[in-house]
Amino acid sequence: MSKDTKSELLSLYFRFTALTDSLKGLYGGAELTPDLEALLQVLCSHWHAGSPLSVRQVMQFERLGSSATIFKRLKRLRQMDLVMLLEAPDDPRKRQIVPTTRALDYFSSQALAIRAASA
Amino acid sequence: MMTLTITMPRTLRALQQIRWIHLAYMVIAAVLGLGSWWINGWVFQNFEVSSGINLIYWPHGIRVLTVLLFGLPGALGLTLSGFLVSPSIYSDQIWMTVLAPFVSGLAPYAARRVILLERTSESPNLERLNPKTLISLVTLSALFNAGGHTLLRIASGFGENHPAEFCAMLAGDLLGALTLLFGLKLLLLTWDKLLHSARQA
Repeated sequence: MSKDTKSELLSLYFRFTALTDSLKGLYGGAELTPDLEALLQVLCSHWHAGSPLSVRQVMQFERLGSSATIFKRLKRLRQMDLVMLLEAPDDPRKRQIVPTTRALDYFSSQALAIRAASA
Repeated sequence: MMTLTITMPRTLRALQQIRWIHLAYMVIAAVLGLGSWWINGWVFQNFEVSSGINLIYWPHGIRVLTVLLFGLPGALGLTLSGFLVSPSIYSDQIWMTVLAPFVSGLAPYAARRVILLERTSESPNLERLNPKTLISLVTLSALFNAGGHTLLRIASGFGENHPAEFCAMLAGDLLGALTLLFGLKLLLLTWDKLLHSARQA
């Protein structure tokens, strides 16, 4: 297979992923609103720092809203398959909030967009 | 001493850049165009309001997706498939038979060039594509397609109530394409959920 053909097939793959991402993001309740994004950022930054938050802990973040609001948004993030609850390694009774691959892909695409904009 | 240099014409140099992969894209697009037209006619035959006008026409969505994936070779493949079906739709209308396939194939491509701001060259990886531009692209492509077909119908004296035909074609293209896009969205999300549950199991 020639270099040009390989490059063209690679472009086709990228076009396909761009298309599937756009299709998945079509309207219908799957939009990541600024409120949800703020909560997701807090959850992911704690997870990235090595101290993932529990449900109880995140509900105490008053700057993000009341505990009921935070709980509702957390439920929404779980429905959108952006976070999941895992048992803590040291205490099986405690459940920690960790980002899914989809959330990590989302932040990767954000980082790429920022890099492209600054280039 | 004057030297005479013979250079290859620009059109032939452009032909040199055509690779077998582009021909494959054309064939795939032609098969998709032909297959989707046949299936749509078979499933939604009761929604046909006039010859060549269907109130649910999801092949328009297939055309948009094909052009997004395969670019100009995809548009040419769709035009080719249009030539295979147009004689059966416009049997005694020579101008409609010859020109309508170009409108069907090139309308989504023109919409892609406008919406994704591809003024100089095609963006190789659809960097500007997002859900909003996808919906805009489908809408503009439907407008180009319905408008182009209606102009052809007026010019060739085919059909009677042209404004009604334009509206029916526009509605059919939009409804069909949006049905297809949202159907694909549901399929992709279901696939993601299945993968996610399989990973967790």
